[in-house]
Amino acid sequence: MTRTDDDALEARLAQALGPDADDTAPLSRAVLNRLAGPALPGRASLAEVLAEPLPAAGLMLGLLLLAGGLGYAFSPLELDEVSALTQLLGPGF
Amino acid sequence: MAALAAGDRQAMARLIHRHGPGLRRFLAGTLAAPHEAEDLAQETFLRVWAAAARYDPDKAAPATWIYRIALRLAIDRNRRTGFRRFLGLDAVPEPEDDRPGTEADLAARQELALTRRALATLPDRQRRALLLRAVAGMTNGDIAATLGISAGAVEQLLVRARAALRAKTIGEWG
Repeated sequence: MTRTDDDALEARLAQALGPDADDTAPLSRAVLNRLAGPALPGRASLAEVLAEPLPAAGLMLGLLLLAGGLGYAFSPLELDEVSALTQLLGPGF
Repeated sequence: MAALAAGDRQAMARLIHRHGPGLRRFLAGTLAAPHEAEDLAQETFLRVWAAAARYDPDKAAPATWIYRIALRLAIDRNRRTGFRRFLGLDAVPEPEDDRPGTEADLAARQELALTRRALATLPDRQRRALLLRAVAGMTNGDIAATLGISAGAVEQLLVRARAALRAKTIGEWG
């Protein structure tokens, strides 16, 4: 493939990705409006969690389930009431 | 950049006019949810504005610096999009544009969809290198500085990316 072929491919790719991307007025307006507004750096992530709490809540729930599962998996098998009381009260009783 | 650091909003408007179109296309090709490209382009320019005082012209050209910021934001956004899709919060990747339009509009939309599908099959580094060349017009050196790799590696990535894209779009583009 020649350099011309490569240039044509890249030009086609750029054109296909945004036929109307050359108009920068809306982007410029949006950015300048946001600059004119109150600056709230650092609050975006908190706002995101508050606005969409399900991912964070899902993660917490997943960790709780994992902890519960591990606890269940590592608990002694066939723990009946007598052996449980013996463990609690000690061998003297 | 010095004007930006001094708070000159006209300088910001000029910067957007110069880099905005390429940046939007780059983000549209990089993001897992391409309809977020406009939003992330805004976010990129806001970050540029906030960090303009820290820009060092000896370390990077303005375009390299801006695209590096955009790339970091895009990677972070893709990670969150992937997590949201994993949780089923963002199951629909891209809203279909079913507005009635002329045949030319329809053809453009089909070409856009085809291009995105073809790009999505490329490995991340190949896709990023090709997009930086195609939509930002960067040299191999600038692409290398943006991606943090050597110029030789960039050339290899571009050769492979072009070949893969040709194979995917053969007979489809024009």
